[in-house]
Amino acid sequence: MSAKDQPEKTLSAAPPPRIGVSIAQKLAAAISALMVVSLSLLSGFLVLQARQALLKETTNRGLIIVRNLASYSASDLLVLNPLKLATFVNDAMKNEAMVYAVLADQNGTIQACNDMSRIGQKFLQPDGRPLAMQGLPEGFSVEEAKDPASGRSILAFSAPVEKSGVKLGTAFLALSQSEIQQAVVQFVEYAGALALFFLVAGVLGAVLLSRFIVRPVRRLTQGALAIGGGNLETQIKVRSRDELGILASSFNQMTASLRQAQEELLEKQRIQQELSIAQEIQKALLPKTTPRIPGYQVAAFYQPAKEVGGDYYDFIPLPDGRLAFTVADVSGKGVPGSLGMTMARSVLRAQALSNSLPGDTLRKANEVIQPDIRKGMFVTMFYCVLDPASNRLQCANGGHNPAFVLSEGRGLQAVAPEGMALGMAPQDLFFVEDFELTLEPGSLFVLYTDGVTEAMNSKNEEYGEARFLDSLARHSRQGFDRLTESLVADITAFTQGAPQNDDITLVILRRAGAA
Amino acid sequence: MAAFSVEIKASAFGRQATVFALGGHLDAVTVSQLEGRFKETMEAGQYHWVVDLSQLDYISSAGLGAFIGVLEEVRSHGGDIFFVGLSPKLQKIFQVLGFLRIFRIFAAEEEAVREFGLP
Repeated sequence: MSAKDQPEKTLSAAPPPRIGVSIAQKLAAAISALMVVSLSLLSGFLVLQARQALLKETTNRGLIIVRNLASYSASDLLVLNPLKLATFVNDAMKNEAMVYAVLADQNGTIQACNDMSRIGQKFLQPDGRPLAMQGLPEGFSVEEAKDPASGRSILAFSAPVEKSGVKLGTAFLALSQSEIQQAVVQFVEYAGALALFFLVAGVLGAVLLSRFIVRPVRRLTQGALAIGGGNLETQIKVRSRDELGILASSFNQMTASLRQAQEELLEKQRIQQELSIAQEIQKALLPKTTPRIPGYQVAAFYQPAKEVGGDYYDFIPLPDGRLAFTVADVSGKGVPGSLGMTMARSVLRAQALSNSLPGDTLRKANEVIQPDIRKGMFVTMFYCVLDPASNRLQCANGGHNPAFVLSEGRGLQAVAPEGMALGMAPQDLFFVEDFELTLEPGSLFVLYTDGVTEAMNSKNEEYGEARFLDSLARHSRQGFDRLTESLVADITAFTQGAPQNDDITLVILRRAGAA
Repeated sequence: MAAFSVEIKASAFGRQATVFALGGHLDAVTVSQLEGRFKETMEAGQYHWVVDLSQLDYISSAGLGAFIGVLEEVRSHGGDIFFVGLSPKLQKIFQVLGFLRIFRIFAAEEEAVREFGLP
C-alpha cells in the first residue's frame, strides 16, 4: 500500500528554517533609516535657511552703514578734512563685526582708515564674489571675500561718495562673517541635538510599532510551524480584521480541512486494512488444491472482482467416499460479503456431513443461515454430491444459475433443478428440489457464478451464457489441463480490460474415459 | 450508465396502494436510496406496495436483497410487495433465485392493485 507512508512523510518535514533578520527588525531599520534621512534633510534645509536669513540681515546692516558713511563724509572728502573723516570711520568701526572702514578719494587713495598707517596708500578691495542682490543702489557693491590681513571670511561693501551728482570717492567697509558662522554652528548644534532626540525616540517608536504590527505575523508563523510539525489541532488566534486576520482565518480553515483529510485518509487506511484482512481470511477458506478422485479430473478457478468478493467454492470429502462440492455467490461484497461467505461455508460444511441428500443439506443450511444472516442478504449455491464409484451425481440448486453437462452422446445439457437462494425465506417458505444424473465417460460437469456470464466489456455488453457455452464446447476438445485457462482467456479477450464487476468462479469435473 | 431513480406515488387504481417506479441502476451502492424510501413509506403506514421494474436497467443481488429485507415487516402489517414490469431477463433471474416462490408478479399495475382487494 503506497499511501500508507504518506501522512508521516508530510508531517515529519525538515526542521523549520531559523529566522535570520525578522520582519520586525527589518521594519524598524527601514523606519529608522527613513527618519535619519528625513531629519538630516530637514536640519540641513533649516540651517541653510537660517544662514541665508543671517546673511541678508548682515548685508542690510552693512549697506546702511556704508551708505551713511558715504553720505556723511561727502562734504569732508571734498575739502579733505582728515579729522572729520577719521571720526566717521571710527563711528563705523564701533560696530563689533566691522573689519575695516575706509574712505578713498577719486584716485583710490586712502584718505581715512581704521588703520591710520595706511592713509595715503592706494586702497585695493579684496577679490570676492559679488552677492546677487535686488534693489542695490547705483554704484554700490556687496561681495563675499577674504580679508587679506586676517584671512577671515568677510562681506565687503562699497558705496560711492557723491556731492551734487559729482563722484568724490568711495566708502569701503567690511563686516566679518564669523558672527553668522557662529550662529550657524550654534543652530546646527541645536538642530543636531533635536534631531538626535527625535531619532532616538523615532527608532524606539519604530521598534515598538513594528513589533506591534508584526505580532500577528509572528503568531501566524508560530502556528504554521506547529502545523508543519504535525499538530493539526493548532488554531491561530488573530482577531484583527485586516489582511492578516483574513490570512489567519483561512489558515485555520486550511488546517481544519487538512485535519479532516488526514482523518479520512486514516479511516480509508483502516478500511483498506480490514478489507485486506477479510481477503486473507477468505483466501484461507478457499481450497488450496483440487481433490484427487479416482476416475475424475477436477479444476477450479477463482478471481475476485474487488479485494473481497462474495463468491466461493468448496470441496467437502464425505466419510463414505463421496465428494461434496459447491459453487456459491453471496449477495454483497466487501466485508459483509466476506462475513456471509464465511458463515455459509461453515454451515454448509457442517450440514454436508450430517445430511445425505443435497436438498436436505441446503434446507438445513437455510434453516441455520436465514435467521442469522443480515436482512436482505442471501446466498445462491449449487451444491452437488458425487459418488465416484457409481458416477452418480446428486445435486440441489439454491437459487444459483444452472450447471451444464457436456457429453459426447447427449451434447450440452443444462442442469437446473428448482430451488431458492439461502437466507431469504423462512423455513416454511423455503423450497429446493433434488436432482440426480449419471456422468458418462468423458463428460464434463461445469459449475460457475454469474461473474462469468455477466462479465462486461467497455460497451456494456454482457459475455452471456451463449458465448460461454460456445467457448466451453470449443475448448472441451483440447486437453482438460488447459480448459479453465482457455475459458478465462476467452472472457478476458471479450472484456478487453474493462473493470471486472463481479467475482468469476469456475469449478469443472471431468469423468475420465472416451472422448 | 443511468443513475438510480425511484418515484413513489399512490396508485391510480386504488389510493391505498403505493407504487414504486424504479429506474436506472440498482446495485450495492444505490440500494441504500431505495431502502431509505422503503423506511419512509413504512413509517407513513403504507404497506401495500406495487414495484414497477419496467424502467430498471440493471439490478444486482444486493438490489434484490432490499425486497427480501423488508418483506417480513410489510407482511406483518397485512401488506405485501407485488412486482410489475419485469423484462424476460428479470423474470428469469426471479425464477432462478426462487423469488417467484416468495413474490407475486403481475402483468399490470391495475391487476396487482386489484389483487390487494383494498376498499
